[in-house]
This record gives sequence, C-alpha cells and structure tokens, in this order.
Amino acid sequence: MNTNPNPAVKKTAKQVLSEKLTAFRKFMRVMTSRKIVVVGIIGTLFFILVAIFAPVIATQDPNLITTDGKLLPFSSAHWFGTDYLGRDLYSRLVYGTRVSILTGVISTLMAVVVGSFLGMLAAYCGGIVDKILIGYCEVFNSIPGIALSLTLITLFGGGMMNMAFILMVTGIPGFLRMMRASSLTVMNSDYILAAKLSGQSRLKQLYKHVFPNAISPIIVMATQHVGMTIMMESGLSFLGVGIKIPTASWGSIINEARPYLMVDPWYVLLPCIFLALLIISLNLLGDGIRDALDPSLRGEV
Amino acid sequence: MSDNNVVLNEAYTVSEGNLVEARNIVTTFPYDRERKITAVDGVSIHLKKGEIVGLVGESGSGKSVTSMSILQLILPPGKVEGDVRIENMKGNMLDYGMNSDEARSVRGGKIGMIFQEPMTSLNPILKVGFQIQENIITHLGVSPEEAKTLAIEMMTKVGIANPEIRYNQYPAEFSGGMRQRIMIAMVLAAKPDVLIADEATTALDVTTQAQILELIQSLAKTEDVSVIIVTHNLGLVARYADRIYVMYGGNIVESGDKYTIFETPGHPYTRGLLAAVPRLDDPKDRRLIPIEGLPPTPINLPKYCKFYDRCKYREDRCKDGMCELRDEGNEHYVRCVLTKDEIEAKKAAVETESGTVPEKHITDEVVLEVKDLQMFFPILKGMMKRKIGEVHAVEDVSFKVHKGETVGVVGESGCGKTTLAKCIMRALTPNGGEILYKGQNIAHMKEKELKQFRSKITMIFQDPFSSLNPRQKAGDIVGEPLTINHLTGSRAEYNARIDELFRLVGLDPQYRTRVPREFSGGQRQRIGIARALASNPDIIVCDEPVSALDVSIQAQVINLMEDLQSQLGLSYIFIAHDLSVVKHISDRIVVMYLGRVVETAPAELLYDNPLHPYTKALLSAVPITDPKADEQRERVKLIGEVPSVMERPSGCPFADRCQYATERCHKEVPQLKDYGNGQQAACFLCDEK
Amino acid sequence: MGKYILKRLLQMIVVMFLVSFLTYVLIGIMPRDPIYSLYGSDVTPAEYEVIYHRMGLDKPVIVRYFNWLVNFFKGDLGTSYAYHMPVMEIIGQKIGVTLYLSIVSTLISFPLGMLFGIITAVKRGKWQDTTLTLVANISASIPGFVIAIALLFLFCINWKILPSRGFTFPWENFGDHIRQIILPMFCLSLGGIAGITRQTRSSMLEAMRQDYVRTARSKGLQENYIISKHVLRNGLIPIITLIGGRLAGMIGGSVFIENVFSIPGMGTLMVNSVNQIDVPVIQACVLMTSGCMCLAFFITDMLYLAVDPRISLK
Repeated sequence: MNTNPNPAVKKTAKQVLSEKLTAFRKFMRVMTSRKIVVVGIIGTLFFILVAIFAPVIATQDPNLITTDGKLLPFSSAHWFGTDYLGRDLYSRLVYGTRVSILTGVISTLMAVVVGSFLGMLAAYCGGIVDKILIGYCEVFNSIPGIALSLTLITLFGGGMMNMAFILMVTGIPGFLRMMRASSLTVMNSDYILAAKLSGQSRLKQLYKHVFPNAISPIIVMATQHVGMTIMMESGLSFLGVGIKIPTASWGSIINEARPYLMVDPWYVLLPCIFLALLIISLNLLGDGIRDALDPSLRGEV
Repeated sequence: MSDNNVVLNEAYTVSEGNLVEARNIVTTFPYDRERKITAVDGVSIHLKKGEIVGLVGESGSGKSVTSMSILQLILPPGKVEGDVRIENMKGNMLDYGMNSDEARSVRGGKIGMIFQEPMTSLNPILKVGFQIQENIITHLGVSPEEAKTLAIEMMTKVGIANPEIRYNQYPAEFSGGMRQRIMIAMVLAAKPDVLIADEATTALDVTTQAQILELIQSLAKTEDVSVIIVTHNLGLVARYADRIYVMYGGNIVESGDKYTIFETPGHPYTRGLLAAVPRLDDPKDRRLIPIEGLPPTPINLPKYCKFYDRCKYREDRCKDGMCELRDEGNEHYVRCVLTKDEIEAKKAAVETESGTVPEKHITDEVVLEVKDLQMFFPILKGMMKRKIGEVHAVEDVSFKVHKGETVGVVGESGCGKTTLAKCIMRALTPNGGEILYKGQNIAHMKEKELKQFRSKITMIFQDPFSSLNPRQKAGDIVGEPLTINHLTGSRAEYNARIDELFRLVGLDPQYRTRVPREFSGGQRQRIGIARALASNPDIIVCDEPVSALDVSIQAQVINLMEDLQSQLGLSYIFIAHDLSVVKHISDRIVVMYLGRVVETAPAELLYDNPLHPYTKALLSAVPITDPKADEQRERVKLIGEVPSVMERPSGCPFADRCQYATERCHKEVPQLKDYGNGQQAACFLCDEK
Repeated sequence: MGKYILKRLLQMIVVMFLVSFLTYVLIGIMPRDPIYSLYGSDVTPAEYEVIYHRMGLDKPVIVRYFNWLVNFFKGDLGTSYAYHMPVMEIIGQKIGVTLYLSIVSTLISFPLGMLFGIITAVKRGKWQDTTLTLVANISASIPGFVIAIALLFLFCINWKILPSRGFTFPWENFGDHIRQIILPMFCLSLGGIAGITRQTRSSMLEAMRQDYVRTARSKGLQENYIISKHVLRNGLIPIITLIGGRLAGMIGGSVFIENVFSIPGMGTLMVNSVNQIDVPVIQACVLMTSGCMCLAFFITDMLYLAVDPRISLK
C-alpha cells in the first residue's frame, strides 16, 4: 500500500503546491471577475469579522440595562441609541451578528454532513434503504418549511442550539437528494467500473472516488443555503418563537422593536437593514462560488 | 477557388455554374479579454450546380463552423468576416446581417442544413409535421393546407411509411435514423438549391448511415440539389462526394476531385491522414503511420502553416508566412510551401518505412473460452415493478480466445457487444453459459473467489474522459490495481512499476503527478491502457477503445496496442462498431446481431468471403478510403433499421431485414455451423449455396 | 396516461398518511399533558383516570392514531387546549384567509415573474436585463417581513395612507379589501416574482441554447417567431413545475406577513398555538398546509402532463 509520494514525486512537491496555488488564484480570478461578487465577498467578510470580534467591537455588554434611558436617539455614548429596556442597541446588533451567522453556519454544516451521508447511503445501498430515505424526503417536502419548524419548536423549544438543530432538520432533505443524485451520476461513470473491475471494495470506491467527485454541487448548495437559514432563523425569532430573549438576535430585536415603530423607527429599521445586507452579501458570494466551481450551473454561457 | 480575380462589387452574385461562393471566411470567438479563438482562418470554398462536395477534417478543424458561417448561424459574440455570394442574391450576404430578410431567405430557402444530433435537433414539443410545414410556409409562401400536402409528399420521398399519421407525431416517437429522415424532408420541402449535411450521420449506426447518405445522394439528383457533406470520416467522402476540401486548423489545406485527393494527395497532412486510417482492404500486416503530435489549439494560431509542428516535410522556409493554395492543375489545389516534386523527392528520406505490424505470437493455448453465454435483463413495468418479460441482450454466444490473439467483436447498437464485455469482465453475472479462464469457469463465481482473476482480465474503456477519476493523479490511477491487489511489495518497487508502465505506453513518468484534465484525449487513453496493464493481465477487454479519438490519434493508440501485444503476449477482445478498425487489429472477428453471433471467421476470410447476409451488408456499408476500389465492391442494401432488442423476431434475428429470408428463417433460429477454415455462420441459406 | 394520474393520486395519499402519522407521533412525545391542558389543573386523580380511559390514552400509539384518523375523516380534529373549542371550527375561520392570500399571490407572481423572466432573457445583456435582474436579486435576498415592516412604516405610519391591520374578503367590502390587502399582497408576491423571474430567465436561456433553436434559425425563421414558437414553451415548461413549491412558499411566507399586518389567518393562529403549546391546533395546521401542498404538487404534475407531450408518451 504505497500510494504516498515517492522520490520522483517529492521532487515536485513544491510544484504541486504551486499548482494548487495557481488553481486557487484561478478560482479567485473567476470569483472576482464580476464586480458585484466582490461586493458580496467584502460584505460577507465584514459581517464575519464583526461576528468574530464582537466583544472587541461592541461598546457594552449587550444585555446590560443601562440607566441612561430607554429608546434614546443616536449619541456618542450609544451610537445607535438604546432599546426599550435601555440596552445599548449598537452592542446588541453586533452580538446579534454572531448569533445569526453562527446559527446559519452551524445548522448548514450539520445539514451538509448528515444530508450528504444519508444521500451517499441511499445511493450506495439502493433498494429498500433508498426507498425509505427518498420517502423521508418526500414526506418532509410535503410539509411547508415554516410549519415544520414551528412544530419542532413546539417540541424542543427555542434557543440558539435548538434553532440550529431545527434548521438542520429542515435542511437535510435538500442535501440528501442532491448528494444522492450526484453520487448516482458518479457511480455510473466508467472510472467506478474500472475500480470495481480491479477488485476494489465498494466502501473504498465510495470514499476514494464517489465522495470527492460528488461533493462539489453540495458545496455550491451549502453556500447558498447559509443565507436561507439565516433568513429563516431571523424570521422565527421575529415571530417570537426562535432565539429566546434576552439573547440578542436581529430577528428578536426586530420583534422587540415593533411596538415602537412609530416612536423610534431606527430601532426597527437598523436590524432590518443589517439583515438585508448580510443576506444580499451571502447570496452574491454564493453566486460567485457557484460560477467559479461550476460554470455550467450559471444558466448562461 | 474559382477565380480570385473577379470584381466583388455590389452587383456581383456568383460565377456561371456556381451556387455558393465563399471567400476568405474568418470566424472568431472571444476567449478572454485579450485573446480570441480563431475557428476558421480564411477559408474559401465554392459549390457548383449538381455537385456533392465533401468538407473533411478532424475535430476542431473548423469544418462545421465554416458551414455555419456561410449560413450566418454564428451567434454573437462570435464574429464572421469575409465574403459570401449566393446565386441570384446581390452583394455580400454577410453585409446584410444575420437577421435580415435576405439572410433568412437564404437560410432554409436556398441552403438547407441538417445537423449531427438527430435526437436534439428537432423541437421535442412540436409535431414533426408542423416543423416541416413552417419551413415550407416561410419560404414558398403557400397556404397551410398546401404546405401540409407538400410536407406529406416529401415525407414519402424520404421513405417514411404512413406519412399522414406520422405527420401528427412528436419527434420522440421516431428513431434516430427516422428523425434524420424527417430533417431531410424538412429541409428539402422548401426546395432549396443546396443541402449542407453537418456530420448528419455520425451518430447513427453504419447501416443506417449508409441508408441516409444513399437517400441524400439520390434525392440530390431527383430534387436537383447540390450537397455539402461535412464530416470527419474520410471513407464517406470517398464514396459519396465528387469534390473534396480537406481542412486543418481552420484552413483548407487541399482541395480537388476525390480521385485526385485519394490517389495523389498533395499536402503532407492529407498524406498523413490516409496513412493513418485503417482500411477494410488492408493487407493483414499493414502498420498504420500515425501523425505525431496534437492539432493546434485555436487560441493564438501561428501565422504560418498550422501543420508545421507535426509535419515530416517541414523546412525553415515554411515559417516565413502562410502560403496560398497552389494550383496543381485539374482543379487540384494544395496549400504547401513545398512543390509536388519537392515532396516526392523528400519522401524517401522522411517517410519512415511503414513496415509491418510486429510479429504476433499466437499459441494454441486457449486463455478464454465463452460457451453459450446468456444475459437477460428483466423488463419491469408498473408501480410494483412487475416483471413482464426479458430482454435477451446476449444469447448463446460462444467463442475462444487464444494466447496472443486478438478477437474482434463487431456489431451495431443493441447487438449486445458491450453487455458481452461486461459479462466477461464480470461486471454482470450472466444468466447462463460458461466463461472459462484457462479452464476455470468464472461465470458464476462470487466476488471473493473472483478477486484472484480480476487482475488477469482487465479492461480499456471507450471514453477517455469518464473512465479516469478527474480528481486522481495519473500515477495513482495507474497504480490503483497494484495497491488493491497488493501486487507490489515495497514503495520503491511500486514506484518503479509505475514508471515502467508509463514508459510502456509512451508517457513521460514525470507526468504521474498530473490530473487527467491536463492530458489530451489520446494521452488519457494511454493512461487507461497503462492501468489495464498494471496487474500483468493475460486478457484485455477493449470496449471501443479508439472510437472517441480523432483518426490521427487513433492510429497512435492502435499501434501502441499492437506493440504491447507482441511485447507482452497479450490477448485482446476488441469490441467496436467501426469495422475497418476491428478488421485491422483483429485476427478473428465475431459478428453479432441482436444478441446473437451471426458469423465468426478469421479477419481476412471475413472480408474476402462473408457468408451471412448481415455480414455482407455491414461490410458493404463501410466505405474504403479509395474511391476507385470502393466502386468495385459489391453493395448489399439493407431494409429497415436495427430493431430494438425488445422486438426481436422469433426466428433468425435478422430475418425481417434480410432480402433472402424464407419462411423457415422466420420460424427457426439458425445455429452456428462450421464452413471450414475457421469460418462459422448462422444462416440457413449458406447451406443451399 | 390515466395510469399515471392514478399513480400520482395514490402516491399523494400515501404521503399524506405518512405526514399525518409523523405529526401524530411527534405530538405523542410532546411533554404537555393533554388532560390537564383540556380540563384544567384542578382535575382530581379519579376524574383523570376516567378521562384517561375515555380518550383512549391507555391504548398503544398506533391504535390512538387510527382513532384519531377515523375522527379526522368524521371532521373531528380534537379540541383546542387554548380556546376549548373544536379545532375544526377555529381552523375553518382562518384557513380561508391564508389560502386566499397564498393563491392570489401565486396567481400574481407567476405571470409577472414569467413576463420579467422572458424580458430579461430576450434582452439579455441590455439595460432591461441588468436592471430587472438586479432588482430581482435584491428582492429575493430581503426577508419578506423586513420589507413588510419597511412598507408598513412608510405607508401606514409615515404617510398614513393605508390601514396597518385587518382583513376583509372582497365579497364583504371590496374597497376595504383592496386597501387592506395591497401591502400584504405586494410583500408576499415580491419574493415570488423575483424568484420566478430568475428561474424563467435561466430556463429561457437554456432553451435558447438548444439544438432545435439552431435548426429553427437554419430554416430562416424570424427571430421573434423562433422565440414565441420554439423557445417560449420549452423555456416555460420547467417553470410550471415550480408552482407547487411556490404555493408552499407562499403559505410559509404568509405566516410572517399575517403577523406584521395583523391578519387573522392560519399563520397568526400557528404562532399563537406554538406559544401556547396548543398541540391539536398545531397538528391540524400542519396537516392542512401539507394537504394543500400535496394538492398543489398534484395539480402541477397534471399541468406538466398537459403542456409537455413527452411525458404522456412514456
């Protein structure tokens, strides 16, 4: 079992690295060839940085009820004013970024892992396993996403980890179907037959050949899924059933702020604007990644 | 290249006797910001009344783009420059713009075009009658009722039975050959002067291909249409065209009467092509001479002869600039710096002695024997997947393979040749019969027992793109059979073996870290061959190993396979639909039709004295790249198309299409019978002769 | 063809059974005690025992499910924990509103989205394409409730030209209906229109690339004719398959829109029920919306059958 580099290859290890770099540069060039995608990249990066460095960027504890007053306008002490309890809105929005991005990314990641695994399982086993998994997708597909989420929330309750779990559950069928279809396509190709005819075990075929070739549409789908998940999370929080108070989430802030729309419109509009900007950026980035990974999915040539 | 001196003014249409004159067509597509792809680089062609012209070239030579440029079918951002004159149309057609009334009246009205893919070239959601009718109404300006009458008339002429019923059917209800007939009817119904057939028969079976081209040939006469056949197949133009243009890298490199081109080719490329193509009438030991190297990429084409890099006759002066087509007299034009005499003088020096194929060492030892092999697939229907019948994909197939021998398996689509290969490889488990590898029956072995045989019988695949994992390095691909079967001990041994395999198939071992994307089609096929060789097999099953390659590359791979066989004493089972290639490489040939073997014989004997009517028809459907020799051959025509395996007749599978079929043929299945000299045929009529 | 329809119908019924079973089982593991929820916490243990048996809670889950199913077919979906009213009665009032909103907005967004999609595809690369695509991309990226709040702020609070709440059916008071419905309908349809515009565009471009379009060009047909006869139908067929999913999206979206504009529909009901853990109502809501979706998918398939001759041939 010596598939590892040997002297002849080692000599070119540097070359391999530089080839990888060139490939990455090419990928980035395609990504950045459309200016609007660059906007998406910058926007996404901005929000990710805000999420990571939230404690540094925020001026106060987001849940600290200050005594400065409620529903204050913009000021140097409270850049975006204060909320209905007197908490610093700027800090709450900064920490809200964290919640939104974390929920979106975690639930998408989990959905990708579970969905791809089940999808490959369906393609690999076929027969009754395939039928059951497809049936599962069919059933979940027939329940509107929001109704399913609401049911699950009733079952498990809100809160961030629960939200991530619930959003994962609703995301799985999509990834399962995609992975199943893409695995089946790969499994029908001649190089799988070649591996089989060489006597390779099916399990080995699966991780050596099928998985690496079937995963790229999943990656594209995942990047576009993050935005949708964030949208759903904020929506549920907005309905007051998602992220629970006092955790700051953009959706829950909008929900808290609604009664004060007439008095303090910025209180409502600011989280709305943030949310819109993040999702637009994520979608632009997703489009860019899709185009760079697979031009044929673009829908135009 | 009629007269380049004419004044190309507004009023000029075409010279007397010509229908189309295209001059200096340059077609480009933007590639990136700076560079562009030059698909056609200054092509001039003309077409005379009543003529059938062939436009031949390998893929990427620009032949299809040329024909589409003339019709202004190139969509932006593609750009066509040049001068196109059409009979009775004033001025340069390209000046009118692609959507002008003038251009549209030419498209379809004066020049009709048939495309390669019969499955996608018709609109799936419109009835075929409507699609024919709309062409007639557009160009003849008749009422819909009259158009329908004309359409049905035309459908009858192209050989479609029950045209009134067929008129109201959708394309999905027609077979590939029938759709191409519909396309012909559609184009000819508008009474054009010119018909362009752009690889129109490439996707079809050989016998269907012959039927369609013969139909075009006869309709050209009766309907008074001139034809341009655009194809990569030299044999087709040798048989069906009158005059030929040879294209390479976006240029016409040679043109002339077909006899001249095939007998006294002028350009080194044409010469090379003819030396690289296998012919049905080749002597047994003919060695193909491949054209080394690869065709030029159409980005940043050189300003001199595009063939320079691959040309054996090249000289420094070739690089001085693009030379013009030189008149060799008798309408023969050659685009080469060297004159005919200079080439002749140099010939002895540069043409490597074509030689003969390396000697084969065929022994009496039978390495593989297939006995009464049967493979059925269930036909499932309905929700509960009820089995309502069986498709007999392979039925009672028997043959032997000796050590060092090549057995060719030939047949049209649906004949079961790929299923047979998969059974031998045990990708499928046959329903009946035996597969004996050195006497041991592997037909029904379980995967575990089979494992030791897996390394002894390996496979080369058709598609050099889908048979290699795009994410694996070439070295790992080749080494996979070694690691799976633990065939090499140490890492050093493994590495040495990979390097050896790379050298064996003519690849630089340094390329082992590259991924398939970085290789050309021919090189990929070499990787596939190296993988098949890795485990030191006795038998390699080759499923259409060269059919995806251009002829010049095809010769390289065929030669490689012949060398390897002689070097390593391999046995090949060579499966292909191209009879010329199969006959060239095989010692013995098995002819299959709808799952059954109809004839088997030594390659030479099969060509000289075919017994089965199907073999005769198949042989005569394949043209030879020598028009004079081809005209001498007996031509057996076939009725109908290859039926679906689901509808196999009860008696002889070929009975419905056989012109000699008797009542007995429809009832009984003829068995293979020995006729001496190793020839066997399954036909009742052979006895009577 | 009849077989195909039958097959789809059967499939639909099977899926509905599975959905109902799933919801039932999920509810079965719900931590809330149904008896205390229905009869209050002052039920004595003796009374509890009696009710426990009367409701059949001592039976295995599968039996309870079948009892529930039988009741369902009788039109009895249980009693709401929160309102102490038959669930059927509560839902009956609300479902009409939600269905009205969803169906009308689907009916608005498909023709408009297809129209914009066709324009962008035909005028590809021109300003019409660039503008419409940009607007569509942005509209599809902003959550419906965010747009709804922004519009509510502008029209109802800032300019005070439209009412901010309530719902009246058109046959009750047409003027009120229009005034109340215009903003919710716009918000609900916007995302749909944007999505359909994008999908129509790519589907049309895909159709334009097909070989048969080249064939049509080679026949010298007019460009407009090619678009209308050869491209349009092929390009729009895939869009039809989206109707089912879109309608589902609309039902989901109406939850938010109803919430913002205080429309008494199923969305509002569902959110309230979740907050009150009103199990029977949630169960019924899920079942009802899923039923609508299955029906929508079925209708989609039938539409597909009608427009694409290839399917009926198989």
